[in-house]
Amino acid sequence: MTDKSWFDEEVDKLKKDETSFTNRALLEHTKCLIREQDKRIQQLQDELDGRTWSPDKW
Amino acid sequence: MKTLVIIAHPKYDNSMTQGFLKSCQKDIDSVDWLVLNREYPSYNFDVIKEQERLSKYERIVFQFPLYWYSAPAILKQYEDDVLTRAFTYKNEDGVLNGKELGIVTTLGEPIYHYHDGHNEAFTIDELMKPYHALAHKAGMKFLPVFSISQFNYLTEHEKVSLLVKYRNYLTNSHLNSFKSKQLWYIEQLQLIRQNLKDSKKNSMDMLIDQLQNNYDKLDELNWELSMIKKEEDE
Repeated sequence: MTDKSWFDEEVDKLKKDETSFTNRALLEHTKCLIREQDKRIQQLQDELDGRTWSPDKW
Repeated sequence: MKTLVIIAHPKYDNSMTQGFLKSCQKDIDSVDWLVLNREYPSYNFDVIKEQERLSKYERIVFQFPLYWYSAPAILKQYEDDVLTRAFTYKNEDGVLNGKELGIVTTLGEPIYHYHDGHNEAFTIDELMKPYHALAHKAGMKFLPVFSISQFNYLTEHEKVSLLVKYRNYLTNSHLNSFKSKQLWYIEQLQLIRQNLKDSKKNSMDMLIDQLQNNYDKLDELNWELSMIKKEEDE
């Protein structure tokens, strides 16, 4: 899983020197993407665990 | 992929929303704009020129404010004149076959008004059906409608979000896929990286690596899951 505070800090550092509104917007929104990725990774891992340990397979 | 945005707006030069949307993508080489009200103020379309123009793009986007549940009149006249039968019908070798048609519409009312039982009674998807029918007739893939509601009331944060989603709508080649969305973001960050100072490039590389690692992880998990599901089916 991503270290979110590290990721957000790095994004904010890059945003600080960025003069383009478009680039700042894209950088800011990358935080949303990384959270969505983490959420989906967790969901898929949970589903994999659930299916692997299904009582049907015992 | 090349995108053409065709705008119908009688007051285009005074529209803050259109100005914002233009600024969102002015740096993208693969997107071109045609403002119908500027190019053809008296509605006398150069049909051959416009048909040739359309044939050069893979994604065509009609962009307009919603006037009486439809586009401003100039877009209808454009359709009537430029989209001739031989040029458009899929079953008569029309040249639009295989392209995509998108709609960007701006609304003066809150988006939640466009629902069954609410103030406007119909959804935006229902109101946009004539464009869906046109796409169907032409053999085009109809993209999800992109609605922008009450632009003037958006907060700074909401405008940031709008900018990213709008750029994605114009330039992401597979709009309905999360996989493609991730690759699109990575591509956007790589473009920003090109103009960074050397000292900043390292930070950007780390962010891109993290996104790429997560992308690979998701891909791997999806593959494992599909294998398990396949086994379960057998």
